[in-house]
Amino acid sequence: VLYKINEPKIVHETIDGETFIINTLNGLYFVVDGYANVIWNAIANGHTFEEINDAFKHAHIFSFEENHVETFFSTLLNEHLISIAEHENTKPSKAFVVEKNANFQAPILAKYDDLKELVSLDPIHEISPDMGWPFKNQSILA
Amino acid sequence: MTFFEYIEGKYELDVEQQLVLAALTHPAPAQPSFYKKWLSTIDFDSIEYGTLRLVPLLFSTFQDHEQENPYYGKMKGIYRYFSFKNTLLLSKAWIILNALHDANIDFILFKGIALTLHYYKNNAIRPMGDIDFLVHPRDVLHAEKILLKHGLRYRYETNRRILFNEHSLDYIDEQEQGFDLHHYALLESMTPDIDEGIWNRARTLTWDGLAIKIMAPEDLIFTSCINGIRDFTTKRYDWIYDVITLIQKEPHLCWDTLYQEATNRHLNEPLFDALSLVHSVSQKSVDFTQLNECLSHHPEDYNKRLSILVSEGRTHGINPVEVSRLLKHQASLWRIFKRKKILNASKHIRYFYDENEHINRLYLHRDCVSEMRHVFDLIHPRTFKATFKYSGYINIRPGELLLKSDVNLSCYSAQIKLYKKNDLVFNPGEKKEIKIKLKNTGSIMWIDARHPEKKYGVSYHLFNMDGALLSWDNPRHHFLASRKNYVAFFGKKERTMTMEIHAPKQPGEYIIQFDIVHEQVLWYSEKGNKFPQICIKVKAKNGLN
Repeated sequence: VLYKINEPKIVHETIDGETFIINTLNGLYFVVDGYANVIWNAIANGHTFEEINDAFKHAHIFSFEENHVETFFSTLLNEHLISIAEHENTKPSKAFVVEKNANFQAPILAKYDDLKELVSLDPIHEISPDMGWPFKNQSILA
Repeated sequence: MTFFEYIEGKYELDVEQQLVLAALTHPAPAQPSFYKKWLSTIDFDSIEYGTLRLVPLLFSTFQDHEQENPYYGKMKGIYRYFSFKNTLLLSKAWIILNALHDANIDFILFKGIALTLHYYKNNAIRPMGDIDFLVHPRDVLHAEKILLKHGLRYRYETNRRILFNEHSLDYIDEQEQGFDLHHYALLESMTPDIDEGIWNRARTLTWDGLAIKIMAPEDLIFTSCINGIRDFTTKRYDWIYDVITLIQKEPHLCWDTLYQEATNRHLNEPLFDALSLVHSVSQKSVDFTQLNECLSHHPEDYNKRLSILVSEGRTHGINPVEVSRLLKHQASLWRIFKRKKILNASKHIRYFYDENEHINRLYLHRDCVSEMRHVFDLIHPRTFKATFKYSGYINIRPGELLLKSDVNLSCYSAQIKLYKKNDLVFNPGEKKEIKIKLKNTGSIMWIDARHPEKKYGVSYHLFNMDGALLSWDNPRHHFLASRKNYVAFFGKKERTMTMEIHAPKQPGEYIIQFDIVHEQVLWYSEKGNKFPQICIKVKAKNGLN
């Protein structure tokens, strides 16, 4: 099954192996990194669910009984970030391949849903100096 | 035809601002060196607002320099933050503008939204405080109804609209995202049909299926310049990058349109000041010819600038051949040069640096020759007398003349005289200008050698009638400030000036004790100077006190 990102209402950008996703309809902000980022970009590049899922299985990234890729797709669908593509676009020129990375966790969609807080958070002084907005400075919170 | 060999505007960028703009605009490979220098000199937690607005662009431009950037995480976060805010704002804007379109209301987008959609094409790199759009004055009420229908509200109390004649109406949504509904493009010019040229020149384009108009590049530059100069004192300088971007992306700009629009609105002076700031960052974008063209559209401004240069002895930027040629034919210009003898303005020495940042040239005003030793250190003092015997242009062997790191005057001696006609009766809290005469009675001139924080100013201390101090620090009138690569001097002749007195809010009588301050150094009264005292009266509101 081929999915598409619900652009233009869903806006996304990848920096340093991390993608931020904005749902302009409700102001929700999402971050994906690691394997989640790999999957997101595979969807953006026109790979089908089966191609992505098979690549993960082929690379033995998760154990056989774990359905991380499927679960992640469901989460993206539930948040209306992706939907089934009605028309098949041009096939990607390269086959989708994923490599095992010890630093990566199972794919997770990190969700920030407090729009008011996101907008009012001072991006210089109230955030984690290493990670930046929207990650809050824990010492201030304490 | 011009008097000027180079031109200085009224405003200057500070070091941080210069580094940021150089990093963003200098041709490669110089850019990273400015960026690294900026990173090494800043306290990121206290960067000014104008710089904050350029951080997403800095991050995007220098993303590859992560290793050298101690603030990488913060800058990345700021990029995300503005991307998020701008994306939501643009998304809402599309809905509102679509509704205006459906209601047959003509609109033109300008400022951030126009630049983002047509030039930057990236939601993060050009932070937007609000969405600015211009409608015809006849459509304002109709447009307001549409904004209200979409859940927006007027930001202020309704009576503000009655009290202030505004050029735009500031609407906000529930997240306080702003939508600035302009019925005139600029605060400075609100006369019927003044924006006709802007309407005629606007460009049409499509944004996600919606037909929109954006200002022509000449008008985007013009409005950026006028808004930018208005806000320049509030540390906003990011508009300079917008102007440079527009100029570079629009090689067929009609500069005459820009100058003509300024003339129509009597805004030649702020336009010139803005363009000179752009020139100071990128001479490729605004060159000397364009500055001259801009000045020549407004002869009064031209003569005013000339007059200041002549009165301050900064005539070395003036082309002597043109001066002598034009003086023969123009009596008004001759008067400017003649006045030089009677004005007692500050005097200046300008110094020039070579590529290694060594002084290699001076323009020395004749009145300042004897003060040279107070300002500069000479590596070979023997050459001092020979070198500085004459005023005018002097070539310096690089490395032989150094600007002193600090200039401490040994002689702080002054006199203040008051004009008798000053009105000393105030309303509570009233601000009033009074006229004084100030004289340097010391043996040497007062010197400002490029320490902007150490200005000289005349001020006062406030006491009650029993002599108890109420307020030591009060408004200053700074009378001596140098410019970049200049040393400024206040001579020994008497100079008339005005200063502002702020009356207390409580009615009664008060003593004003005048004083002169060398900021961050001392008050002249500490050096034994005696200055006049006056008594002011603050009336009660009903006039009965």
